[in-house]
Amino acid sequence: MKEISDEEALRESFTHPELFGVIYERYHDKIFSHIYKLTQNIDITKDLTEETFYQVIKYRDTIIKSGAPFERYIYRISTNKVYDYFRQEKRIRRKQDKFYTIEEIKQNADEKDVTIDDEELKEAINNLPEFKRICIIMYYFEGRNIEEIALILDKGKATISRTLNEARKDLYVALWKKFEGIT
Amino acid sequence: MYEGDTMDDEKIDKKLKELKWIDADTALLEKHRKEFEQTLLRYVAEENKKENRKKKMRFSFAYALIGVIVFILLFSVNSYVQRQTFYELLMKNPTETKMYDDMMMQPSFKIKINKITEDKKLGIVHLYTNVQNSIAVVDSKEKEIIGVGIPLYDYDRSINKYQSQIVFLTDSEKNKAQEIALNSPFIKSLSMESVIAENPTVYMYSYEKELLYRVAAVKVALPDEKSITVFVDLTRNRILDIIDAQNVLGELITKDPDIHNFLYMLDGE
Repeated sequence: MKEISDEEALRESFTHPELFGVIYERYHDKIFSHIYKLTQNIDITKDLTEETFYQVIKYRDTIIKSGAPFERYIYRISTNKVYDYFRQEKRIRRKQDKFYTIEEIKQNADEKDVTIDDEELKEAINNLPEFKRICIIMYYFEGRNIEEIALILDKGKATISRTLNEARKDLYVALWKKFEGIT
Repeated sequence: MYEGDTMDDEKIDKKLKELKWIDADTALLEKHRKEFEQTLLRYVAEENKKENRKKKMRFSFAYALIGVIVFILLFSVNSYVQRQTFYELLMKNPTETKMYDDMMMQPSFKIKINKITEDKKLGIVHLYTNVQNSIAVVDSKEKEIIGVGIPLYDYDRSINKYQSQIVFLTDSEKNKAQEIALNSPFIKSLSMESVIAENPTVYMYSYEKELLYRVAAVKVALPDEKSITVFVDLTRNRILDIIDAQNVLGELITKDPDIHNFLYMLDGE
């Protein structure tokens, strides 16, 4: 028996609500996992996963009419939810008392034998601006390539590549600065 | 995979690749999937119901809109045809056209019908024209002009019993009005110096009794510079009322039982 496609299931769900279950089965775990990777918080993940599916149901018509692959849509919706959440949270980032140039930091780093703790790196990632943070997590911890990230976030490949470079630089500055006791 | 351009990038890149990022707990994930499924499917069913209701409403609205457009279209066509018919009627009637010409003193003036109202009870149509807001009253059944006049006041069915207009009598109507007044034995019994039908006079119709009155005022001059005004109903060829502002008749009433009876009969109208 031919397997029903995402788009067909979505279209048919208007008359047969139970067919939405097919989509739910296919994507629940992926979306849940994706959101968890980004937020690292189980309660927030539950909420945002539910909101993602509610939004998919609400905008079924638009998704069908757009003709774009459903998978891209659902990932985009869930990532946007996380993005909104990050913005709402407005995590307070540590303010720098003194600004160091990259050269100064590099010099300090070369002089000292330093190690970076995993927790500190995680903290630095979580302190990145929302967009950079999402790009880093999707690239390194979800194993997505730049093209996939660009499609999900609806941005150009060059933008994602540039964002990743900037994010790495930010992490470098944040981490080496910490070892210098500048916090 | 990413290849860093500098040593710094490489260091961070390496660290990031080595970092263990926590994934969602499988048990929690499965628990949530099961818990949320039924709620979600119920939500889908509810959303479908809402969507169907919206679609129905959209259809109803579309049908209502089409209905309104068709109605407006039919009404406009009907109104246009009616206007043309009455316009021709107005222009083909030499007396009325002359009347309009006299009113405007501009024979070349083009008469336009601004508004048409119909009173189905009385079977008449009012044509509001551009000449001093005048109204032509048309018998809608016979397609004949009953009269042309200037509105005295706007009729309000809830307040007034009558609507009246100032109308201009034709010569034959003036003669007829005088004749009717003189045919009354009561008027005949008076010593008269002259009988003149006044112009303009009043055209009115009563909604209460559904009666039409084309009323001519006839001034009857009596000796000693006294006068009475006799209102004649031209439609029914009879006297409708008498105004005796100078109390000319007061004395006569007491002396003549016939006069008394006649005035009593008028009051009963």
